[in-house]
Amino acid sequence: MASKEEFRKYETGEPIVTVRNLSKSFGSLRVLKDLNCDIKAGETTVFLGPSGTGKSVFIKHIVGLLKPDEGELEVMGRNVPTLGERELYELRKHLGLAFQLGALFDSLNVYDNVSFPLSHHTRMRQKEIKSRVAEVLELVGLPGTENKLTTELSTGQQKRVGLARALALNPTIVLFDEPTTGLDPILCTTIDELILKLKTELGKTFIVISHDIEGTWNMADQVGVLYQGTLLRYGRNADVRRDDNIFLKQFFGRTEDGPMIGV
Amino acid sequence: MVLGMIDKYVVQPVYNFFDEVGRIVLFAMEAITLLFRPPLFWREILTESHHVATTCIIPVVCTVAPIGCILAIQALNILRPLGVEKLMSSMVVIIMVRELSPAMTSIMIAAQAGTSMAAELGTMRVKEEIEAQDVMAVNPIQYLVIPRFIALFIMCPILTVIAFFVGMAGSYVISVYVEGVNKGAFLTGLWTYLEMYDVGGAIFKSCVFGLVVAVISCYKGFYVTGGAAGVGRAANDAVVICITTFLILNYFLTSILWITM
Amino acid sequence: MGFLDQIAKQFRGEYAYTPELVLKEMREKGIKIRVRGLTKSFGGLTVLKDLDLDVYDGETLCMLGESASGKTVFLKSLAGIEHPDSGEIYIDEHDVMNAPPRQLYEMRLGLSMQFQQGALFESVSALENVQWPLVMHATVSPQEAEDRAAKDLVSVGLTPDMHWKLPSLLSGGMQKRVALCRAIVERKALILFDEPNAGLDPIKCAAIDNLLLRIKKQFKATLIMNTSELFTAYNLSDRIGIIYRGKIVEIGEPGSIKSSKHPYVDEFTRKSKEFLPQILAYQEELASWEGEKVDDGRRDSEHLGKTTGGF
Ligand SMILES: Nc1ncnc2c1ncn2[C@@H]1O[C@H](COP(=O)(O)OP(=O)(O)O)[C@@H](O)[C@H]1O
Ligand SMILES: Nc1ncnc2c1ncn2[C@@H]1O[C@H](COP(=O)(O)OP(=O)(O)O)[C@@H](O)[C@H]1O
Ligand SMILES: [Mg+2]
Ligand SMILES: [Mg+2]
Repeated sequence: MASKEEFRKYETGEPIVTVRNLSKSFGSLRVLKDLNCDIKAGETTVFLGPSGTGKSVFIKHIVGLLKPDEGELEVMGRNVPTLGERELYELRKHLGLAFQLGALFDSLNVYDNVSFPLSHHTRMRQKEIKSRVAEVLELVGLPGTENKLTTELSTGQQKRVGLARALALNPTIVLFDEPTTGLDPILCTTIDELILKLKTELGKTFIVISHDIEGTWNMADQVGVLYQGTLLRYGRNADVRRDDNIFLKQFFGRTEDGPMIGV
Repeated sequence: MVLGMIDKYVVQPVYNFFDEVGRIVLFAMEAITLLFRPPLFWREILTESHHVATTCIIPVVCTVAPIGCILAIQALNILRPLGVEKLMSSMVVIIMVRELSPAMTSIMIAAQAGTSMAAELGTMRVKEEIEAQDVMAVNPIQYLVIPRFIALFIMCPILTVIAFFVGMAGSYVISVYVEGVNKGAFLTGLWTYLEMYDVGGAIFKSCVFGLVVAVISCYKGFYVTGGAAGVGRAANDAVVICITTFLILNYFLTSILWITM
Repeated sequence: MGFLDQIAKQFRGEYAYTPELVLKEMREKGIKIRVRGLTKSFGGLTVLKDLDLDVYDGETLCMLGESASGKTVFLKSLAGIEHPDSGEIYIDEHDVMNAPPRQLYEMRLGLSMQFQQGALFESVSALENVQWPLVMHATVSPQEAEDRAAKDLVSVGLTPDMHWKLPSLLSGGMQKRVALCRAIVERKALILFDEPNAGLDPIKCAAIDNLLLRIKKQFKATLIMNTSELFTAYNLSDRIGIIYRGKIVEIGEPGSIKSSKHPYVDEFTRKSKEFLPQILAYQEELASWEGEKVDDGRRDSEHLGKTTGGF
């Protein structure tokens, strides 16, 4: 069985997620159409695109929350759509999900939020959990905030607590859904720099969904642009930025004049 | 140290309690002054009354009917050995009219309509809908709170009367068809001790209870703080405070209205 | 006891007006709103600290600032729904800080506001939301109100089949448009916008910007707009104010903000300085674009994108 096989360490640049001909429909609505891409270990891959084009749906496939209609999806050597529940949970311990704002537990304090995956997925002792929480909070730049309620924190801090929770289990791949949407330029830069720092210091693989184009140029190694379920362009940061495609130009130029729909 | 404890566990709670009571009274006063200032939102009053009536009628019927039944059985248990079976219906009707139908109806209304009002207003507060109305120069107390006050003030007595008939029907069915009490004895017994004064008192009581539910649930909902958790807390507080308040109030009202004359 | 005072005011209700001298100066200089020494703190946290500002009649002012810098608190203070600790706010002849609730309602007949989270009424449809202020103030007949609301909704790109949907069934971008419509439907002389395009993707952002630009050109209203998007601010505003640590640290025309020497303003605009030429270059290349929009008809189901927006 595939699940008995150990999770091996991936070298930087090795494909860690491979997607082949992935398609998904909800009823008559085709959300993902024939997606192909390789996501490389140790790099930051950013997916851009207008909302409603299937970015979140795509990322849900990677963590096995949705099953594709067609196509294959391999994450860390496992064929995700065929995994059973137990194996899926095994795999998810290596995947950290940082949800869009709102997925923190309001009624709990920062410590309980961050330690949640630790106390549920590991047999760590209370003391170890405590030091691990302190460690990840230090990483995201919020040392000593354990006892604050999440509602007392500012938006930027909440995002960082979400990231800390995602990092708690020391995952290989970190997925981040719209970390900077709706934040001011200074906070955006802070969060982008945080991602950059974690990537270089810890060698983690980041898969990020973003609306922040400038931030993407700063932090991404690989960029994918989705529009209406197809991957318009998938390539290195600099290549995508200089691409001639009219869709990309409109998106990067933030204007209504162009083939993309605004409403 | 000791002073600190006293402050924290005695002074603060007592202070908070009276602070809260004061705010509730002020809120009620504000609403009542605004009641006499136009405009009055008729459509909202009608929809709210309709909402209260339709959501509360089934819970009220379902709690009062079985209570009528058990009253009949227990009354018979005592009265039959004494040979005064015909007094059974007089006793049941008095308890039903004076006490149980106003109290049970209000409890069910608090549980059903009160919580939903607190939660609804609370959600509106959290989503800034109330502020939005304020900015659009519409007084949210007039638009949201007063229709709910009026709806409860009207529907509470109506539902109480319905509850009374349902409860009596329950005890009639049990005593006549199950326990074999004489049909005519039951019906004549109804009128032996019952007076118009009792009915009036019951309606007065239920109006008061309706107002209590309205004031407390709307107050709790209107001043929610703290997001989704706050809304949950408000709904919860509303029902607990309402029920406690009118069970205590009920004692005083009963002693004023029916102390042995 | 602030609360008791407030209640007492409600019952007494003495109207408070802008002092004669101030009013005269405001009229001479064409100032619509004057704010002086505005201070507000929550518990130990001072959000606004001694904030001064004059807003001229008919201008579009963008307030920029980090999140949690107090932009929303400031805007709400203008509308009289947040109660600052001290300071003066004069809107035309009204003294907002000391006005009793009844006067506040009168003052608010002259302004409208779009809330950051939309604050749409969840239980009624988009159209009813938009016509709500018209119906409530009964300035026009119900039929007329509905027509106006529908016309405005269409003008912001919401087709009639969307009008009767509940707000929760619309996508985030559409909800923003409905909220925008409700703020403009009465054509008030003062309109406050709180982050009209935050959290939207770049294309939707651009669409809302265009809309606001149209509003700005069509009505001769005073617009005050909170935003954290520099690009929007540059595009739309006559003046930009930057809030930092509870004060306005820099205020002026977009050009002067771009070249500001203030260290914080510089940090705030650095990213845009780097990328603005690039964005404009992209736009330039597209300016002559004429072609078909690509749409595979998924817009109707877009609402689900919102409910599944997270993970
Ligand atoms: N569980 C679901 N059921 C039906 N439709 C869905 C579901 N999840 C997403 N969709 C649809 O898929 C499309 C893409 O959604 P999503 O991936 O959330 O977009 P985004 O790119 O903004 O993250 C949307 O049009 C949405 O309506
Ligand atoms: N009702 C309130 N109670 C406590 N703190 C508040 C309240 N409203 C706002 N704040 C605090 O004031 C600060 C500024 O908030 P806000 O004006 O919403 O910022 P923004 O500039 O993002 O709009 C934040 O730190 C926020 O937590
Ligand atoms: Mg704000
Ligand atoms: Mg999404």
